Amino acid sequence: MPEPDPRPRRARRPGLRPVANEQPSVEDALERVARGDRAAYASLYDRCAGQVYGLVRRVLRDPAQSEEVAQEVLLEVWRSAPRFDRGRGSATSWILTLAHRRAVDRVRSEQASRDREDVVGRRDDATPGFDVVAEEVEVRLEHQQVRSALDSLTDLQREALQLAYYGGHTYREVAELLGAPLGTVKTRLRDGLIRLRDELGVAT
Amino acid sequence: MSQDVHNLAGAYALDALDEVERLLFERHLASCAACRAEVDEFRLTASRLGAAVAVVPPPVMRDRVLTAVDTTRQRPPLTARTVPARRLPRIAAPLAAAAVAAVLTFVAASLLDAEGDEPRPSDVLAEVLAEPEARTLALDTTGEFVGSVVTAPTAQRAVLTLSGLQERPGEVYVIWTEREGELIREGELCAQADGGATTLVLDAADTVSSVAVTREPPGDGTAPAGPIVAQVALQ
Repeated sequence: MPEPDPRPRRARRPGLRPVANEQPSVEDALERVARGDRAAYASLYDRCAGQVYGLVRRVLRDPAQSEEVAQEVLLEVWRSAPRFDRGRGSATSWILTLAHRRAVDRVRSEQASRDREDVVGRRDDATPGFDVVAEEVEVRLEHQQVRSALDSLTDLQREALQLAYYGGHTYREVAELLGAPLGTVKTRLRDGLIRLRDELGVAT
Repeated sequence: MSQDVHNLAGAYALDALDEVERLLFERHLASCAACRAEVDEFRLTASRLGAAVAVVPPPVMRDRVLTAVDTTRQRPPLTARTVPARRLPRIAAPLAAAAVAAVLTFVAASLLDAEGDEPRPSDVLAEVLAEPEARTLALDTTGEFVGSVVTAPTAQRAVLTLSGLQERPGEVYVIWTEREGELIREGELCAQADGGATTLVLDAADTVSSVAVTREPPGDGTAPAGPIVAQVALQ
């Protein structure tokens, strides 16, 4: 039996692990990693491997390839930690930017060896399936927030953003897939991100 | 670039630009503080989309990565915001009369570095693209990476861009050009840490009839020592 939670703030489902409050920030962990601290790396791995793997897998779909690329990214986090610049954004954002870039590179390399039209069709389902095996409370909350922020966008903004980010498509491919003019897609990606940024309260 | 260049900040932050546009936008970023700030915020926003799809990774990954970390060296911190373009000595190719005048400029802009103030790689690209008959030719690759050559009949130089090169122990990517029937070794390129673009500027572009990339052990041979993994005909 799960223990009753005296705090009435959020429903907790059985099997979910509580989030520890005393964890050092991801930035602090990354800065220790930057000084060659392998123990700090192991704890950073535990904090961010799920995000890296989840994002790479969302873009690549294929589990084996995703595993390979996620490993590359996580090793790169270790190698490049000394180059993290706290002034440019959060550590999580730095790590996920790296992960997204790698995943997209892999998609486009693959694509180069195939018929372009085939491939555009292959990843046409870029709806961020909410069928993920998210076990952490943190992830579920993030998930809900992002979903409701996405719901506040126009259909075109949302579809364009999802195809670009989760689908790994260029905005030209997005325009083709949505049958929308290039200029419109460019603009929707930007104003969609502005809306999302404001909805999520993102600030540097 | 046109007025609506600022509009590209969204697509850029989402990695939704193709390589050429990406380099051009990075050139713009170097001189536009408003876009830099916007890109930083957009990246933070996009990473929220990323974090929302976290899944439990395969447990075996952890051991593999931690083991790899034990034997992997870290990169030195960047000491300056600006990484100057390096000029490499031209590799001797005695048979290549036509290429004597060719100077090889190696400009590698990694994603991380290019976020700083490094407009140079794309300066040449912008120059070539400004020519009325500029065109972008995609390399025919084995699928390991993507690449293109931006060239114009009226431009002195052409720009080769490779992106998504994989690091392979004991092997490098060697760039070859065919100039008036001779195969010229232009230089070696390595994978960028982040898989970002690697750019090579080819001078005397009007003498180049094709460009090829091989994967082989490092060296300075005047003939390819490994398989051709990409090529494109220019003329």
